[in-house]
Amino acid sequence: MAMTSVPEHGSMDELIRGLKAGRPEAFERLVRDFGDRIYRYVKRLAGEQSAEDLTQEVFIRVHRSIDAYRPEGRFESWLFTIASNLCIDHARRRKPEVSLSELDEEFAPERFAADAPEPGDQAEEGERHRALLKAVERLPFEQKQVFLLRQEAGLTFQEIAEMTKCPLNTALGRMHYAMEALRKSLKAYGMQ
Amino acid sequence: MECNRFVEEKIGESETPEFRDHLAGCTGCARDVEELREVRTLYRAASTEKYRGGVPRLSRFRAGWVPMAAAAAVLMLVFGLILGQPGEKPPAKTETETGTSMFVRVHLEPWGSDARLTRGFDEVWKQLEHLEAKR
Repeated sequence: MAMTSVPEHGSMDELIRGLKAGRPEAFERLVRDFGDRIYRYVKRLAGEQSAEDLTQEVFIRVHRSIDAYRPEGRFESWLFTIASNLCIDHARRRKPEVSLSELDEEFAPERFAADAPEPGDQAEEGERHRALLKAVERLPFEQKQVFLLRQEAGLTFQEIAEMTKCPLNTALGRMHYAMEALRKSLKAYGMQ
Repeated sequence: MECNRFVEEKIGESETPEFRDHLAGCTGCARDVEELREVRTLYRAASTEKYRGGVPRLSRFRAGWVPMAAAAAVLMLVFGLILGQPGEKPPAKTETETGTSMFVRVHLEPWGSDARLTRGFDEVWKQLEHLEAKR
């Protein structure tokens, strides 16, 4: 049940041809069609502070390396690979001595439950949304990446597995763990 | 445990008759499916931020040998013109200059690449002398 991501105007081939030819209108369309999703993906992986700069950097990288894109793979997969690599580099730059698994510990979901308000608090819709997004940000990196690649990028699990260089079942398992963690976080907030 | 076989189905990625049969008799899995569906729905409703950064300023050129070669050629031409001003004799070489290599770093932003052009002074002088002789 793959989530399709059809660009708003014109075909994907047309967009890629325009990008390869260096047409400014193709880049405008790229930003228009993918800007929000890339921004949200980067924001949740790398944090709000750097999200806008990193999103811009994704588009600059696309511009520089579009000739390297091969149509065997889906464009979205290539685009979000660039975004992922930038986020990983960014995380390593921020904490050069720390591995990704150590970064995970800092953002462990257990810490989220401790911040939860008293049960019985009436939560409004906006609060539920904020709570869920916070919970997503606190997922372990690999689970968060799979969750976002599915939800924001709309990649298939086969594409996610190839991109993150793991077996298909591992990608599915990470998604399952991520969703379970989110469900628990919402319950800790008394919101589910 | 049988319930663990249906990871893909529970996260909403596939629907098999086998799982439907299983759901009919397993309240735990039915609850899992419902709550995980709610997580997905809630995330879609919550994740609405917009990118407001606009289109980045992009160079008309991209990385590749053509712009790199063009930049290098222009640089060499400018360098040659500066050193080869008519009526000016090239300064005599000093001992310290002998064998010293010239290092020019060309920073090719916005193409995002660096190119290093290293050439011995002797070779440059030879070329300039050759040009002088031709004039």
